Amino acid sequence: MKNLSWLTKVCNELSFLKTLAGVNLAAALAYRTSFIVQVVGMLLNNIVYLCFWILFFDRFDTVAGYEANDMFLLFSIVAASYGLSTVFAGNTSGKLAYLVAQGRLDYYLVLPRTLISHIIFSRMQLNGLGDLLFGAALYLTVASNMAELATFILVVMLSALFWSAAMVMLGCLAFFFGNAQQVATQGEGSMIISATYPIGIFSGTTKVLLFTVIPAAFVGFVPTQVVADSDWLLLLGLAAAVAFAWLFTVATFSLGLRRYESGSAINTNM
Amino acid sequence: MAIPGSFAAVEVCGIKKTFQVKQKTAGLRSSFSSLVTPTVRSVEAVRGVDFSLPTGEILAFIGPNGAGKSTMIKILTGILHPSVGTATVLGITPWKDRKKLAYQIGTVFGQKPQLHYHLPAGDTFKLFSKMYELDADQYKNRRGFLVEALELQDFLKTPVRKLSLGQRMKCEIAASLLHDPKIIFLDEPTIGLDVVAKQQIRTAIQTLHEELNTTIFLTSHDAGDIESLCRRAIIINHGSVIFDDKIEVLRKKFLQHKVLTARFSSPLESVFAMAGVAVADQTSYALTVEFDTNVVASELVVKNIFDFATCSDITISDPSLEETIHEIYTEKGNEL
Repeated sequence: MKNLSWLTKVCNELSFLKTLAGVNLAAALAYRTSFIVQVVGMLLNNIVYLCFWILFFDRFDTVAGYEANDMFLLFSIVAASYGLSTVFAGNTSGKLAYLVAQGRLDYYLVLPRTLISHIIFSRMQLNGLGDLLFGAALYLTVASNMAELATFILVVMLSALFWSAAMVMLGCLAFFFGNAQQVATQGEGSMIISATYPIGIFSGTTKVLLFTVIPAAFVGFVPTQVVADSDWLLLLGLAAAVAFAWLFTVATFSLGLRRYESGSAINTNM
Repeated sequence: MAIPGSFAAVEVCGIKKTFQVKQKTAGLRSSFSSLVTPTVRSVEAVRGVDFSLPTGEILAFIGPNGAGKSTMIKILTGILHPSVGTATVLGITPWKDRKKLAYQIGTVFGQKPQLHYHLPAGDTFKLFSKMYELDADQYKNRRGFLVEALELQDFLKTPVRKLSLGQRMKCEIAASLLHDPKIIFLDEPTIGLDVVAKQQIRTAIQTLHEELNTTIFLTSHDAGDIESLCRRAIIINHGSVIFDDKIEVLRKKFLQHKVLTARFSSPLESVFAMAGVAVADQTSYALTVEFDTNVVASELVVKNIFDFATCSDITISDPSLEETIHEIYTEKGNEL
């Protein structure tokens, strides 16, 4: 193996991930109708949810201190960051739990790449593209200036990284519980639901849970406050939370991998 | 630099692997009781295996289902940690330095394809060139060589889902050789293939071995793969090595026994009889005989059957691996 500098290794990894994303997209585009249905379906799903909030704010001015624009900003950040995370890193949560429980990590283990990034970037969730487009479009309806747009893009990227860490963590449960596909999928659903409501509606204990066990605050409330208040200190806090989430996830994954038992299932690399 | 033949590509010493397997009897009541008090049993998949594989050799690592072959391959490729023992592949401990080893080995799992199902094999080749960090010239030359050697030109742009099993397996082998590995692990590369495709795969493996001197670790249930490709075989059963010698020894001692099945277009009027040939089964339209090629040549048996009645179909097969293993145990028992 070649002796490469740290920077070259990072460039090689990024180059590989770019090619992997290209291959995934090419595989997705092989079925045009399915591609369109998934993207448009998710767009419509989000539009229906948005209509509910439009009707709500037609009758009430605020909910837990959030006005319509705050709610739309929250929803745009959650949708765009979740979409960005799942469209590129699609093998997380229930899908990762399935791969672990079925012993299907063998394919990745015999190849010379960083295991977590190779696994999670090996699948695209096309409906995530619908979320991403919807989130971006919704933000444009409440955007105030270019500086805020730049902050929005930054927090969406940080929140997407947080989503990925949390969903890999959920997938890792399969190393310890065996069949954890349902638990992981339910956990993902809980995070989505919790993130899309103003944090003010939750009480003390629940609020603590939203910063710990179901860390939805880091993909909803915190990034929304950063954009709304241009709070740079909170932005640093969000970045620190992302770094901590990934360190914790990588440590859990490494610990779980020692328990991995492979399997004899017949695989197909889709 | 290692001199071919003087350096062990694989060294295995006292490898054991134990799995914890949950036990449950059939029925709903048992399912509930196992929730409260789960019963776990230790299963020894590999029980103290030792062997060495010199560089440039083709080794057949064979055994029946559940013998421990796949577990051994998974340990040697870094997928599984052994419970006890040491092993090195190209001087690297697989489970400690998986990534470093992965640059130098190739793997083909017959039942676990690496190619993207919906895309042409060429797309996976491109992805693998990035995966193994090949530069553009290396990739172009290597791909050109493999496409020519494995005759992939006609279907390289066809989505994998549209390929025949034989074509797909050739592309799998090409993908695993793109980075010029020093050793390749082939786990059942001919599984599910027809006779023609099997022969094509064997020829391709033989050609690549001759051209590149790649060390090959082959597991297969097919005696044809083993006889046509390998010079040495290790037979594993119940996690232990029961035979480790040259293929000639295996062939001479255990693979001489053949089973011939013939079907006839008109009813048989008499019982088939021939010196050195045992009739295993005979019906009005079919005949199964067993013989040892050390005692009587296959050609002679076939000629006698054609003379015996009007034959519509004829098949000659090797004894199953289970029968061979039984023979090996019998032989060992006689020696003791």
